[in-house]
Parts: sequence; C-alpha cells; structure tokens
Amino acid sequence: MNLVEISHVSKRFGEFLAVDDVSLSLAKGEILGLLGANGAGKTTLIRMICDLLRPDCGQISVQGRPGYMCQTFSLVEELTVHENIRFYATLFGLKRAQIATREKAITAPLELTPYLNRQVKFLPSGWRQALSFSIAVIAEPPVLILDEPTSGLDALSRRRMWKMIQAKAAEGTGVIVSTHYLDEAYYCSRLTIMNGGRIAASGAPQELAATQQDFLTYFR
Amino acid sequence: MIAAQGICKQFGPRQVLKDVSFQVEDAQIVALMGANGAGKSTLFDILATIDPDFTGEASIGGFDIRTQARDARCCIGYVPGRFSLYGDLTVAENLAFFAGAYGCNAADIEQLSPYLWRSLVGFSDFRADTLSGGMKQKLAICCALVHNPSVLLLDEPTVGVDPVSRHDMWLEIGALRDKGVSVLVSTHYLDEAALSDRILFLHQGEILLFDSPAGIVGSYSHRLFSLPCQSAELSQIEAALAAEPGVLDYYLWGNTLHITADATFGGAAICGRIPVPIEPGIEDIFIDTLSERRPRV
Repeated sequence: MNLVEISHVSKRFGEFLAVDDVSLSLAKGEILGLLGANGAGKTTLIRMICDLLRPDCGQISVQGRPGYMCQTFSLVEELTVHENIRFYATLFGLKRAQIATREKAITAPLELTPYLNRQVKFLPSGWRQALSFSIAVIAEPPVLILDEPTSGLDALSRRRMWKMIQAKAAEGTGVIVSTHYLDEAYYCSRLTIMNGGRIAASGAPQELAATQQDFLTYFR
Repeated sequence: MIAAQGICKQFGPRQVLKDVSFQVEDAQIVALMGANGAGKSTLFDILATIDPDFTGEASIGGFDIRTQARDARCCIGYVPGRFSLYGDLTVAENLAFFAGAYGCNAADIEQLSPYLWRSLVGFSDFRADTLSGGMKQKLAICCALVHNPSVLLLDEPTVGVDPVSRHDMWLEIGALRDKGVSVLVSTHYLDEAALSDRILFLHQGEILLFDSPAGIVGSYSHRLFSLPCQSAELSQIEAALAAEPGVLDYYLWGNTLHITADATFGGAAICGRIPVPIEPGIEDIFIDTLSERRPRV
C-alpha cells in the first residue's frame, strides 16, 4: 500500500487556480521530488498533504502524521536548539530517554552539535534549517514532507542534508521534497514537475532530462 | 563604490568579522560567498548602516558610514536576507511606501527595474503576503531600487527563487552594473558567483579569497574527475573508491560524482566506468576549500 495517495485534487484561491487536478502517489522508501517555478502550486499541494489546507475537490490519504519542514520554520526563537528539539519531541509524545538518543543520532551528521546550546534567535539561517529538519524527523514519521529544505544552504550543508534525506529513505521513510536546485533533481527516485497548478511531467529524473538545464523546458 | 577597511565585529566572546578589507568599484559586481554562519549577513548590516557597533572604517559612495550615515543611506539599496516588505500592503502600495520614504516617484520603477517589474506588473493589486517566495524577492529588489541607488547590497536575493526567475534577476543585476552601480551580492548558487566580476570568499569572519572567477578557478591545486553515478549506486562506488590510491574526496553532483585526486591517482575504471578529467567550477573550489578547513567530527 502507498504511503500517500492523491487523486484528482484541486485548490482555488479566489480567481486563482493554485492546484489543478493533480494525482500522485508515494511508496515506502521513495524520494519524490517536486519541481516547478515559483507559484506553480508546490507549496499549496504540500500544505494539503499535511492537512493544513482542505482541497476543493479530490481525495488525499496519508499514512500516519507526516513530518513537515516548512519554508518559514516554526521554531521558538527564545529557546536553544536543544530546547526546541525537546519541546517538539515532547509534543510528539516521545519519552525523555528516546529524545536523548534520537537527538544525538540526528544532530551529529548534520553537524549541529556545536550549536545545541545556542538560542535560535542567534542561529545562522543555514543551521535553522538543520534544526527544522531534525524536528521534522525526530518522531520517525512514515512520511516526510520537506518544502525547499536546502534553499539558503551552502554547497557543503546542502550535500549533508541530502545524505540525511537518503538515509531516511533507505530506512523506508517516504519523502516528498521540493527544490529549486536542478542538480538535486537527480537525488530523487521520481520527479513531479508542476506548471500552472498542473503536473507538467513526471517520471524518473534520468528519463525526464539528460542534463540539468533540460528540466527547465517543463517550467515554461 | 563600497570601501571597507579593517572591519571587525564582536558578538560577546565570538569574533564574527576579523579585519575585513575590500572594495567594490563603480560598475562592478562582487559576489559574497561563504558557509552558513561565515559572517555575510553581519557584514551587510554594518555596510547598510544598521549596525554601528564595529571597529574599522567603511564608506559607501564616498560617505563614511559612521559620520555621514545619512548621506551614505541615500546611496544604498538594501535587500536583507529576511523579507523587508509590508505583508498587508499590495505590491503597488509597497513600492509607493518605499518611494515616499526616499521622496521619489514609484512610477519610475518601470525604467529602474525593467526585467523584474515585467513579471510583477500583473500583480500590482495583490497583497505582498499572498505572493510566492520568488515574487516577494523580486518585489523586495524593486523596492530597494526606487530611489535609483548607486550601491546595491543584496543578501541572498535568490533564496527560494526558481531557476527561470533567477535568470531574470541576474539580467537586472547585470544591467544595473552596466549603468555604473556597485553591487555586493551574497549567494549560495555558484553559477551566480561565476557571473560576477569578483568573488569575496568569507570563512569564519575572515577573507580567504578575493579574486575574479577565472583567478579563483585557476588557483585549484588538485585534479578533478567526473564519473556517472546515480545516487542509488553510491555505496557500491564508494567502496571501489576506498581502494583507489590518490583519491582525496568525492561528492555527488547531479547524476555524476565529482572526485578530487592528487597526482598518484591512476584514473583506472571504477565499477566499469572511466573517470573523465574535468575543469573545476566555482562550486568545486568552494567545497574543496571548505572541506579542508572544516573541523573533523
């Protein structure tokens, strides 16, 4: 059974049709990349999958509660990195011992460890992303939804983040990830490229484009 | 022109900028690069006269940013890393507000920012907080241009912006440079850095490199190879690479793997594929420079 099943979903904001008859599915261990221009409907679709927006029509079913990393990271500015992790993990119902083990396992490969005791308001933007990612995965959700997790990250941090994403997929987590970095399209097992609220193309990255620039043909 | 001399900045016990000196000439684009936390945004805040708490000297358009801050500000168009827009005003109202603050006319934006305005014009009556991330960034740049500044400070203007819109932004930045504007722009897109006249590479608050893109690429001291690699095959290829002499580092690069090596690397086939020697790009230099300096965990 698929982890996410979306059939014929549409969403309108006033006159503006943000998502137009979109169907897709996500299997266990799969990384589905969402590509498309700004305003193509990626974030609206993601917000519907996370049950933050109700579709006007169509069906969405998601197994369990997805881990969600949004573009505006809901972090508590006054708390430290460690306190944010503990705060959210407690909300997710994790036990104290569980939190300690998982915090270590997640933050070390993201190289977040030196920042654990820094208040979030003094945290450089790239490390906020690493923290948001840590919070999204700490409850080990079956589905992980990442909205532009690497935008604003430097070239090394970007690759570190992808290592983590691929490690999660290898454990069986289904991942939906949006990005504007065309090289990252190749790190996904499957792509859905959106344009004007509709699916312009979908398939394995190698099937859709031999070079990164070729992806742009679906954007226009 | 931007001139900075010996800028130092301390946050409590942490020194975030150490003796930073550089110039951005008229009609020049300097790309500011560095890892997250390198001190880029701190430097922007100082140059934009927002943070007066630093040591060293700096001038913008010939005006000292401490003693002539008001005059300096009139020369500066600043787009901070976080959105500077008023979410409950429309696109047109945001422009009118910023134009009013500088005592000029918002209608001039069509001439001042032709490449960006053409994609915004259809959204004039949309509230800024209903725009997509990329459109917000374009509007933020337009708002920074309303008073026809001679110096443009752009802190990661293309974060979250799609590749087609990024292209438009760089057309605009190039056109502004050609009109004589000095542009200091931070970015994590290394293809953008390659479009600038000089690259300023900041690492832990210090300038590591300040050179033209060609000069920086020319300073690369390793050999670089490319090998076709889907990410699913990575562990198999990693195992094969571990047995190869002379391999210094490797990292995924789209549907290939980039391998940095020294002279002892023979270039023999790996998992049945021959590594192809390639010229490094700015991103390779960036990864190489940072990997050498990052603390080992």
